[in-house]
Amino acid sequence: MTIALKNVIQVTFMSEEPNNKTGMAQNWPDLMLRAQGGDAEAYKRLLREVTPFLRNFLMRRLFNKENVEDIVQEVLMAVHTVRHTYRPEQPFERWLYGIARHKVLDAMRRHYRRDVNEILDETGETFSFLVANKGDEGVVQDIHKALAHLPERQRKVITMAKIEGHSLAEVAKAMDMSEAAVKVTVHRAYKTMKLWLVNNGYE
Amino acid sequence: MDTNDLVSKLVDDLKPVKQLPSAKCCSIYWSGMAAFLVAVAVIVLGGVRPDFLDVIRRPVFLFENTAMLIAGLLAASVAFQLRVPQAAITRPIKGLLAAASAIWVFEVIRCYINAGDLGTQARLDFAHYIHDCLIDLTLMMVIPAAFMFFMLKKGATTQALWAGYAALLATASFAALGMRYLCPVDDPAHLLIWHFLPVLVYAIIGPVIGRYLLRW
Repeated sequence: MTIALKNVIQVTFMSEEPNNKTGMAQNWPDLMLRAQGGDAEAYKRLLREVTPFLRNFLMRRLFNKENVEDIVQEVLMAVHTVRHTYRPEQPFERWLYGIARHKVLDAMRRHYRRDVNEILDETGETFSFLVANKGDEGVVQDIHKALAHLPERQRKVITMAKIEGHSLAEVAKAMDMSEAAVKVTVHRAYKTMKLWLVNNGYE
Repeated sequence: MDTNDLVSKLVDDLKPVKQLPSAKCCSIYWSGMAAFLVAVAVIVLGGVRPDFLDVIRRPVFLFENTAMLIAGLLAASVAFQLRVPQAAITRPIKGLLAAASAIWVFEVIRCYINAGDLGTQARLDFAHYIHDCLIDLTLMMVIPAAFMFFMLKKGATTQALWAGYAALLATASFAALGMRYLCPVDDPAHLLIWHFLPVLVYAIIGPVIGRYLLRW
C-alpha cells in the first residue's frame, strides 16, 4: 500500500515537473549518450520525454500559442540534427534549452518578418481597390481628403513615406520612432483612410 | 505532421554519430594547424625576413610576438567554446575575449605612440605596402579562417556573431604573427597601419561572416 502510494506520488510529480532532477530528467544524459551510439529505443524514450518539457518551455515564451506545436517539432528536428554536439560534461537541460531558445528566436524573427510583409501587402491592396472603384481620376483628391482626416502623427508619417518618398529609416529618424513603429503607424493610417473612403462612397 | 509521427520518423532516421570533440582539443588542434599553415605561408610568400636571427633576440619583438600568440590562442579558445548550443556569453568568455581584444588595442596604441607623426607615412610607398603587407596578411588568413569556420560549422552555435568575431580575431592574430617574420619593416607607423589595425578591422567583420556562415 505504502509503495503503491509512493509510486502514484512520484508519477504525478514527474508528469508535472519533467525537469525535476529526481524524475525522468535524471536519465536524459544517459539516454542521449545511448542515442548518439545508435540506440533507437533510448532515443525514442528521450524524445517522448522531452516533448512535454519543451511544450511547457515554449508555452511560457511564445505569445502566439498556436505555433507552439510547430516549434516543438522544429526543436525536435534540431535536436536530431545537432545531437552530436551534446557532451556529457555539460548538463543536458542546458543543451536542450540552448536549442529551444535558438528556435524560439528564429520563430520570432519569422513572425516579425511575416507581420511586416502582411502590412506591406495590405498597403498595396488599399490603392488597387480605390482605382477599381473610380478609376484614376478623382482618386488622388479623395486620398488627400482621407489623409486630412488622419491624426497629425499618422498624416506626417504617410506624407513622408508615401507621398514624399522617404525611406522607412529616414521617416523613423525624422519622427524619432523605430522603423517597426513607422510600419505600424503606416498600417493604422491606411486602415483609417480605408474606413473613411468606404464611408464616403467607395465599396 | 503529428509530433508523435515526427518522433517515430526521427527514431527511424537514427544513425550513430561521433561526439563533437571538446573545445580544448579543437583549440589546440586548430592553433597547431594555423601555426603550421602560417609558417608555410611565410615561406611561400617570400621567406623569412633576412634579419630574423637578430630580431628574435630583441625583447620587444619577443614580447610583441608572445602577446599576439596569446591573443590568437585566447580568441580560438572562445570561438570553440561558443560552438555548442548551450554556450552563452558568460563572464569567463567575456573576460577571454576582452583580454584577446585588449592585447590588440594595446599593440595599436603602443605603435601609435611610437609612430610619431603619422603624416610622414606619405613617404611610404602606399601601393607597395598594400601589396606586400595587407594582401599577404589576408592571404595568410584565408586557409586558417576557412579551416576555423569549417570546424565551427560542425557544431551548432547560438552565438554566431561572437563566434565569428572570435574566429576572425584568432585567425588574424596568427596571420599578423606570421607577418612579423615575413615583413622586415619594424617602423611602428607601418606596423600600426598595415599589420595591427587590419587585425582589428578583420575582427570587426567577423560577426557579419559568422552570422551568415554559422547559421543552422
